[in-house]
Amino acid sequence: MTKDRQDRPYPRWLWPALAALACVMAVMAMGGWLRPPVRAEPRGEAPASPNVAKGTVVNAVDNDPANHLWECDTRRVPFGDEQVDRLRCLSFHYKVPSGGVRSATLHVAVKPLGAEQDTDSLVAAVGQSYPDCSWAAGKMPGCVALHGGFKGDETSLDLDLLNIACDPSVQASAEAQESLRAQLQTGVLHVMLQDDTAVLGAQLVLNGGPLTFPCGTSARPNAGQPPSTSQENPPSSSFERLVTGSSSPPPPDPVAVGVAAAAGLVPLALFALLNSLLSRGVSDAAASVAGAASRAAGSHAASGAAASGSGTAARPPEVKGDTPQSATEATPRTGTVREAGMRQDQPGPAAQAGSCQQAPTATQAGPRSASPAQETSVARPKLGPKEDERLQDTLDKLKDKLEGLAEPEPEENWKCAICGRTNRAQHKYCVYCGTRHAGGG
Amino acid sequence: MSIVFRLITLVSGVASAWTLVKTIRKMREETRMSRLTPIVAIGATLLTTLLYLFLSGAAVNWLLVLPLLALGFSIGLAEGQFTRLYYRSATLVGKRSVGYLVLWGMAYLLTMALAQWGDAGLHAVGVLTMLFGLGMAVGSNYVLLRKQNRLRQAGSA
Repeated sequence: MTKDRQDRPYPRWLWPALAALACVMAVMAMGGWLRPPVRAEPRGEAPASPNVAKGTVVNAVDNDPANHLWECDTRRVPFGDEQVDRLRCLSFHYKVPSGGVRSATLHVAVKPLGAEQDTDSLVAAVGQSYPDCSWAAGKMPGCVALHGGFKGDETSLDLDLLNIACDPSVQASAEAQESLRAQLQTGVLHVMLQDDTAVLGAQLVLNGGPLTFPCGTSARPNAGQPPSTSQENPPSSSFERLVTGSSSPPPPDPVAVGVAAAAGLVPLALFALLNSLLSRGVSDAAASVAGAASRAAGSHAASGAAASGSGTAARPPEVKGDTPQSATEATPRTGTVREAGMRQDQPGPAAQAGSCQQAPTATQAGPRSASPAQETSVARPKLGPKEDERLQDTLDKLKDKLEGLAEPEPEENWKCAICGRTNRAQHKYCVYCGTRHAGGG
Repeated sequence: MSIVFRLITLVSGVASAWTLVKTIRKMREETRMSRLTPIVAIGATLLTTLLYLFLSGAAVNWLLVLPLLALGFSIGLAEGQFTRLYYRSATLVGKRSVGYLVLWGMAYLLTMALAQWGDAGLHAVGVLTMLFGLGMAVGSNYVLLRKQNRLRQAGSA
């Protein structure tokens, strides 16, 4: 089993990484690839409902402060509110389609409240005032009447805004129709319904073709699917409002997300590069230290390395306190430390320095053809992080020892200024906390 | 056109995942600690998050952002305590804690995936998780910076 792990030609992290990637791709596939693409639309717009063959569907918002029709500034209530004698002020914001608005239909989900709904009116703000709507203009330049009066069982209102005369409840002039057409080309439409009929939600469909429902009010829900801005689905609506802070948040735009994802690669790549450079610096330093250790130990260590080094490599050396180990032991163990964290096809620094050249790497000789000593080396198990760390500590101590051999040792044991523990004289760094000895050179 | 950008997102997501895995692996190894290291870690997560936030135009409740950043920062402060710094010769090295980067990276990848769903609410949840991870990154690396300064001062004393 251990040998299998040793012999595998792929890095250890490959499977977890592949699994994570597969999960991400599965989520992406389930979320986007199997569904029709979402249109890139500005605030308030939504994908067309299934019964609309084409076109842009714009959801109404109920909180636009720019809607100043009649008394919208002071008497408005949100969608779903069933108070009587209140105004329902709807606003649509959209990007005008290229080529302009060629068709526009308005769908409103309503609920007459049983008061005087037969006198209620639906009006839209335009740039010019007309006598039959002058009472409702409020602070807007003017308005046109779209519908008048509701009955108790009516649930929806469908209008063709480029043919408002299709609704028999109003008598629209050609001028009023032209004003509304001009207003639709601006990208903003403000509508108001007064004042005893609740609005559950509303949608404006641009360039979706002519009206497919009877023009005017209807006693059955229109389109088989109520407008998505209504409060008919309170849990998801309130959750969405909580996390997005908006009652009608725009859906994520795949184009913008693609650009953002590509741009995000730059800082991530720089981050990865810096990490790689920093860790390479440490590896190089460790390699040079190991190389120096090999040279300092000399040929005596080289001759003993192949046998004793590979033989002891199967288990980590035991570190008892800060007992220094001899320089002759240092070389093979130094090689072991480096090899524990390396791939099999890379020779350790000690091997590079010549001390472990007799021990073949896994790619140089297979386990079946190797000599007993070589086989021990090939079957060397991967060490766990703790063992690796212990070996690293041993390397530190050996390095201290070797540096101490090269330089004159301090005469006395010394006490660490940081942790207060006593270190042996030959240690330049505190073996407990790593602090450099102030007088250690 | 939309399909092209979905492909770009997919490729970028895969590349980001690969980059993050490599980075996390490197961070778990012993790394030379310079003053730049924690600053770059904060900068990379901050820049990537802000780029995503503003380029994607994600709708997020900004009232939730500050508490989440603060909560992430607190957890990051605790996480930073687990990072071990020590001297190897005259070089300050350490094995950094990677919890914040794992969480932030998963949130980043998940957000990109959720964006394909077309649901503004789910997308916002992903972005808010990224911001929480950003708070953790700042907290964790702030502790690292302070530890470094303390050790350097002690070492030079």
